[in-house]
Amino acid sequence: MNIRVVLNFVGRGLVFIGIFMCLPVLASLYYKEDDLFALLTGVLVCTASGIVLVFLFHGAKGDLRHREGFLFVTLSWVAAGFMGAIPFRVSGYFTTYMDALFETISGFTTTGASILIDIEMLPHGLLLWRSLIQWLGGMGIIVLSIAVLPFLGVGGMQIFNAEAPGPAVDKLAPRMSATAKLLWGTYLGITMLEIALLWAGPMNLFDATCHAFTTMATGGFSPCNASIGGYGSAYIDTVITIFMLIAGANFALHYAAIRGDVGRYIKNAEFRWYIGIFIIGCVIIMWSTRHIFSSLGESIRYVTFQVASILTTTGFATYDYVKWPIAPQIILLLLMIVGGCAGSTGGGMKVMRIVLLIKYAHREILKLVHPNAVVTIKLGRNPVSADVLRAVVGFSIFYMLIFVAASVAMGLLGLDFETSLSSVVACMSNIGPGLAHVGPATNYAQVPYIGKAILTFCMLVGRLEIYTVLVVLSPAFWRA
Amino acid sequence: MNVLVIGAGDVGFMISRRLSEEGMNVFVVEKDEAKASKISQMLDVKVVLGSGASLKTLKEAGLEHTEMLIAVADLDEVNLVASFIAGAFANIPTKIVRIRGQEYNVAKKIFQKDYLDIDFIINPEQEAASTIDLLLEIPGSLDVIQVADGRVQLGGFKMGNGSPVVNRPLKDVTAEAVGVNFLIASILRHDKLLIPRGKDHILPGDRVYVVLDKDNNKDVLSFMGLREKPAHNVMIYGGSITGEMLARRLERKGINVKLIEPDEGRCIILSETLSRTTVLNSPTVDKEMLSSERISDMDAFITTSDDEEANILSALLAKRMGNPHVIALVNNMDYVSLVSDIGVDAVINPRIVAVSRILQFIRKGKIFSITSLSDIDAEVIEVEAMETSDLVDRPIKNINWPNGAIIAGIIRRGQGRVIFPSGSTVIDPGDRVVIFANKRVIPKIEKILSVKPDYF
Repeated sequence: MNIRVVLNFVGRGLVFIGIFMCLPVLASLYYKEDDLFALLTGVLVCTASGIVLVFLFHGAKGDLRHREGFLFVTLSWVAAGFMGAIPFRVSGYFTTYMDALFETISGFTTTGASILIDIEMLPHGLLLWRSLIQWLGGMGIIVLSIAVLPFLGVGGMQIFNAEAPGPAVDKLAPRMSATAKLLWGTYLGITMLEIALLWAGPMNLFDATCHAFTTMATGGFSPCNASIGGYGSAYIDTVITIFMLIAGANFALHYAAIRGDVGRYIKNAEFRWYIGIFIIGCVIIMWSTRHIFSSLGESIRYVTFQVASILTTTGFATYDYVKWPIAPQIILLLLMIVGGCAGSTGGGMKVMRIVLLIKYAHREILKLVHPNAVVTIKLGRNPVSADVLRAVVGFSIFYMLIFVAASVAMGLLGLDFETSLSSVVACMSNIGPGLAHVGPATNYAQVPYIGKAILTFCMLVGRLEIYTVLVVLSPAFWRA
Repeated sequence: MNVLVIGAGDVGFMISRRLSEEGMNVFVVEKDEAKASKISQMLDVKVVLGSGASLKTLKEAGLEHTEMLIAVADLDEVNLVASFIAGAFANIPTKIVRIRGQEYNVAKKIFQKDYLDIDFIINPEQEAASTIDLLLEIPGSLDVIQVADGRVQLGGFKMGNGSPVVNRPLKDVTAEAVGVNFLIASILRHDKLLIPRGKDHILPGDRVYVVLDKDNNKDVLSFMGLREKPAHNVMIYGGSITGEMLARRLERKGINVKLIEPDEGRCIILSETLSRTTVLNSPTVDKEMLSSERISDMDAFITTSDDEEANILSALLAKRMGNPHVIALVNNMDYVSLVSDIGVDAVINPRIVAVSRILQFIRKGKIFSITSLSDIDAEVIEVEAMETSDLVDRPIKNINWPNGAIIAGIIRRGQGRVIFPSGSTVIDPGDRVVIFANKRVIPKIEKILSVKPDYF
């Protein structure tokens, strides 16, 4: 284990985050609000600690091998959380550091769970920072550093894989840095488009920017108390529904589409399943809530928005679905677990893993009926290797174990049944709002501190796809 | 530049690593899932799983935009089909193809412009044989790098205690070398490369690279306490393809060759195809056999069988029995530096040789790299001195030269004479200059070599 190199790189990452923190400083200067000191403190502490780490471990030599890669990614995210929380705490709008940390990790992991009761009292600088960290976390801070900084020209794909969602990363270009640039370029381009479309509707530029940042990251933070619902605009609902669905699909497909190969969407098996799950979810919920909405148009508008929001793990709300009957709520809970596609900014277990699990189970049935059958599991036309299947099954087991353990812990802290289960799912799948007391109209403020800490861990584990964090926590990792 | 490498075996892996480190966009096609996964984990290249003989796979690996094809898959036929497909569906300027099979030698026409249009054919066995041949010309050498069409050679030697040049400051040694062109280009000590200066010492056990004029190297060799007579009596163990090729090359040069081969049938074939070589059939190489064949009187003992453990052990045995120059063929990459440490004079790895030859070809004779033993990060650069560069019209000692690089030789324009540079030598425009440099100072050297537009 080459900890010196890891710490050196984590330092560089912190400097990078410090530079991004200058953006809300500009907003604060523009709006002349009281968060300037807090943001400057954040910039200073984050950049300075980064520089100190870089200088302390300046001469560190050696490669980032796969073990160091895991540690580097996990430490970077934890460090980014602690540093990003500074402006929130220093500003005084968050009364404890735990609250600020919860909010920041919820931001970086694109969860969107908030402890703020009145969001609109925050000054614009902090609101922008809150949205910006989601946007950075969406495509990934490490992937961004690979794209922009030359320092990560090391050791292949391990680091990339440790952060990127999905079982395996599709390399868009022969070089890792070029792949990262293409992904971030696509991400930036679509975000710009969404800002323009939202600004064209009944939304000012600041809100449009914040919402576009958090839509494309499938984050779900909103600078408004009533989230998207507050605008009451069918145009905005439609735009955001479409962009949530875009953000929940594989960005390699978007890149191909920009290059002119639109047919790739249809050819991609995971994308077909993703759209299928979305449509089936919409139909079932529309049927079971048919007596709530007065017209079919209204039903389509609210239900598609909510299903897209939950399936892509964004977590925006235009309707308080806690007031719906139990069936649609169960459907939503299931969709929370599914999540977006591999290679998207969405959370959850990912459509690809769910599909593979179903096919895996189906193969067992076939094997029982025909003991001599040779069945290859395929995704589209491509056979899936045994290694990938093994990783998917392992992932699911860990996902369930962590889910069970965390839910039990939340229950022990005195939360009710629905809240315990749904808060853990909503955090692990990086959605934000859950059911019952953590539903879209309420928030996480009343969860006890230990509960917040557990949920913060769940968010991180969920965003880094379980293995990256668990590997670092395993004793075997630290043995020689 | 986009490079398409077919086959992620040892050669494909090393070539991909080198080219990717140099900033090229490398696509690798590999059929074996384990190898594909290994290379995609370790290198920053794009790996496509599939056969190099499939158009679909090659297209997926960016065939249309490929500027150089390097087909080094295990099967000759895959390499041939890949270059055929590349010719039919894309316009690739450079094609390098590995071909092992002897059967294609008789049909060389298919490699030419009108058919497959292959620019460079690499045959690892043949390259290994020619490398061993070169080593035998310089007795005791463990590595020879040829520069300037072979006129300048860099000979690598392991220095023993007995040599008159060890354990003394180099400037004292140089002062003694009156009338002898003595120049040490570099010292390799514990896998670290030093470019020596006057106060440095050569220590026993160092590997030194000495600049040699091909036609006139006897003085330098005897000055360093090395033997100067090229090999005349040679014994080869192992009648593999490499062994057979080597024996044929040597007998053409009039060298007496004894070739030992355990398999009787193979011996009969060898005795038919080779003319002057004495073919010996012996199940093993043992002391008894070696001494009866007077191993200590042989100038060199080379092991080229397909069994590399036997190669290593019989080479060590021959060394123990007094043979002055033992050379072993070792296929396992990890053993290479190990084996040279335990007493075998020179180790030849056909794959490293192949990689080195491919790199030389890619660099179009400009830069040669040393890759024959462990991973030395050094390059031998051969350039023509440009009129307005910082290199010319001044004594060498006035050039702002980085540590870690040395001018190893100069070939005067028009004369073809090799000049051994000293501090006061002046390089003229048009001279060919041979530079030995540590890889990390190469950017600085490129700056010195470049033409300055504002020079006047």
